[in-house]
Amino acid sequence: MRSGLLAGVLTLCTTGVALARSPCDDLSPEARAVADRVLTTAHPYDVCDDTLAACLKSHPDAPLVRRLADWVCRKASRGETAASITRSLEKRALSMMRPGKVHAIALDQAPVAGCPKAAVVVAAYVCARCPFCTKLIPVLHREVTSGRLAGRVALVFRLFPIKSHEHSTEANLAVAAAQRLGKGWEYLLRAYRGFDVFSPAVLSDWAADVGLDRAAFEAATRDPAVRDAVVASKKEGIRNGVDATPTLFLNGRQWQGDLDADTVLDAIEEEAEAVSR
Amino acid sequence: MRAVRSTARGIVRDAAVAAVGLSLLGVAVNAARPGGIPLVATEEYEVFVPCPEPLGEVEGIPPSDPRVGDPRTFLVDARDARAFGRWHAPGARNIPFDYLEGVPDEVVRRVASSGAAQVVVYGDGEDPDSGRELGRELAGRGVRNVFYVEGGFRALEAR
Repeated sequence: MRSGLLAGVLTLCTTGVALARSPCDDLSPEARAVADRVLTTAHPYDVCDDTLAACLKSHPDAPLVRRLADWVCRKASRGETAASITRSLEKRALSMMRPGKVHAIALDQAPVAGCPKAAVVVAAYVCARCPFCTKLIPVLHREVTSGRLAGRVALVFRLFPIKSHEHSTEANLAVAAAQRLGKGWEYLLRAYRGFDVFSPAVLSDWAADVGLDRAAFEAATRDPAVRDAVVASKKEGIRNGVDATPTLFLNGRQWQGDLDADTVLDAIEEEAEAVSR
Repeated sequence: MRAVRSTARGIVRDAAVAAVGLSLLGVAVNAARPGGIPLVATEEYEVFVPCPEPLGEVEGIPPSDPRVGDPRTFLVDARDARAFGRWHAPGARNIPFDYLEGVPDEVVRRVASSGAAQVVVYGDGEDPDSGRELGRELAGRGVRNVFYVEGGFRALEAR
């Protein structure tokens, strides 16, 4: 009993120590130099007017300052240069500073993953044949449904077929058909898992994989209303300034920052913190 | 003849020596500098860039712009065939714009090789305007001097 209690206390302590550690504590000398260069020259876009390094001292409890400093250190540890991290911070600031332009997105037309009533809505314009989307979108989906953003974020997708992608029309119509039948997210993720073995012949197999009736699915792909819905989604994207996939909107504001999963998830967490204050 | 052959052999030999020498020098410099490019990839290489729609920039012009009626203009109506049949500007050719499917290559080639001084496109005038979108697509696929008519066919019809 006593040893169990001791183990529990030890686990809690170790977890506490792990949580208290910052990515800035474990940098190689080269990465440390890069991080220091950014922290002593770049400024946070809110909370404090000084450099990040000075703000860490003057506002040690400000979550945004700590978050940005940790993010800078993670980027440095991945080998990014000081100039590149500074540029990333500027783009992040452009996306996160309020009031930004809030774009109209037909959320009622989009399938939701995560918490439908969350205060943070992330809308992603995606193409079913976009290789970049296969990397980012499944990670976002996992994080909002069962990861660190679970319960705090609603993630929706809007289709934005890219014409230069081979079979883009068939693939996006298939996603829209599955969406019509209530399996939009399941089908999109199935399409991304099978990205490298895609051919129009597998579209019905994937529908069966996610539990759809093949005949109903195939009829839906031929339904002019489904095509109209894809066209409407793309037109909405064009109106909102989308010209590439994936393009993300955080509560209607276009995300212009880096699209690596770490940065995007960090920014979404920041948004969740900001709206809960 | 033998002298020519000998000279040619000498040039090839010198070129080979220079190529090998400079390659070794490059490898040595790369190895010596901090952060040099690794010769063997330890991690899988990934192309990780967003996927852009291949679009170019186009300028909007008012329906009264002289370039619309210029005989050296390749005038394009971007609406569907039915709408084109109901009304189109004099001299316009119909290239229906689709938001999902690209303009066929042979059509783009025909426009690009028309010899026209400029290409002027008009569309449905909605938001987004199919004329502007077709213009951006043509420009993105290599057609130069592309303009679109602001307000689309309605603005032209009302002239």
